[in-house]
Amino acid sequence: MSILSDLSNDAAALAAGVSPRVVAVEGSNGRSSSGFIWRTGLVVTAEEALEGEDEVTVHFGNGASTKATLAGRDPSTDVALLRAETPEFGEWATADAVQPASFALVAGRGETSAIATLTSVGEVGPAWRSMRGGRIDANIVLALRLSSRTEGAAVVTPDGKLIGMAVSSPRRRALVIPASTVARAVAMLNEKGYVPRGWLGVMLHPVGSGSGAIVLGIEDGSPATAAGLLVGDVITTWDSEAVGSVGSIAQRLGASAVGSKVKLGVSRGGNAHDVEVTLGERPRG
Amino acid sequence: MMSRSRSGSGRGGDLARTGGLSIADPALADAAAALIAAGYTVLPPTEHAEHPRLSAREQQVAALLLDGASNKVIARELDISVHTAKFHVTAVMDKVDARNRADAVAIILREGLIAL
Repeated sequence: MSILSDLSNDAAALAAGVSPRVVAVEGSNGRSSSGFIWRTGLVVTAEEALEGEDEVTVHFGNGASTKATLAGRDPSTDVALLRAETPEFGEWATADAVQPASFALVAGRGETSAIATLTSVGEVGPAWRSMRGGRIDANIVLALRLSSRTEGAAVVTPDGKLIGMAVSSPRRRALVIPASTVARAVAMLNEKGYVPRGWLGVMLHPVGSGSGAIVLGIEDGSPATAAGLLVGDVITTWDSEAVGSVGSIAQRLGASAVGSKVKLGVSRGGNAHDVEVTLGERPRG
Repeated sequence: MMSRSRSGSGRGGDLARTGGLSIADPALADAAAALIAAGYTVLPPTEHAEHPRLSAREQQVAALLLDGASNKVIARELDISVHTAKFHVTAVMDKVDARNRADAVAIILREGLIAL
């Protein structure tokens, strides 16, 4: 046997091995994406791909399918959690750090067939924050583009360990939401049904070219009130890091911000002030 | 129509001194007036001015969009019909010139159209 044949056979065996955990997720609008069994009774899928969430059907590798209910969705990490009767599985063993050019299997499912692609990791970068403030533990980009049916697929190492969940970036690059990030979202969604967001309690407006954000309004009973922020203050730094504009403040108000203390650098009429704020949890509804 | 470009205005050289400002947004004008009255320097908020601010209802809808809510969920949370929820979502997307919901959320966060 040639090395190429061996590689091909091993890849197919790997895909077959993980297949029982991998599901197709079909919304009531008929659109199908991928997902996988996180552990018995819990299915993880890509939040952005999940539409028609009121009637979700999960299709398994053995041809069976079942109705699922939405436990919650976290657009800040692109994780949606479903509850469904599933085959029994413990938690998936997760991969340690991955390297650029190391092989990865993207394992998804269509309604009637497994969809699996052997690819490689193209880029591994440090943790980053999504637009909505989700902390993504590593910037892992795969060397392929995802089809809409494989959004939410499991990404595994050649020894079958879970790297994370495949999702599409706005430019359809295939990003991996690392397993540790998915695990945090799953824990939160399973417990609360949502992922909390940090709350400062201010209306902001951009000023200048990335030189901060001016406070236009302050919500009653908010952390901003308690900290003594004033309308007209220009927030210029957040824990001594320059604040570009409103978006960079929004990015800092993810789940991990709730309850944390930050030092805001504020320009109040040209004079620099420090304001200590204990961030709250954004009220819901 | 003003450009969405981030460059051009608002740099240090454009700092407006007391009296040199013309601000359409009432809340912003109040904030600026309070500062100007105290003798402070105010930066002209010339960027993004083509996006009108959201109504109170639209801000509620925008906050729910941020949480990934569907029209059905928005309807339930705000105790309105799905049809009305859809109407508000469309109004928000039109106001901010968004192509889709994700785009709308990006613009809403970037421009501070809801309380954070």
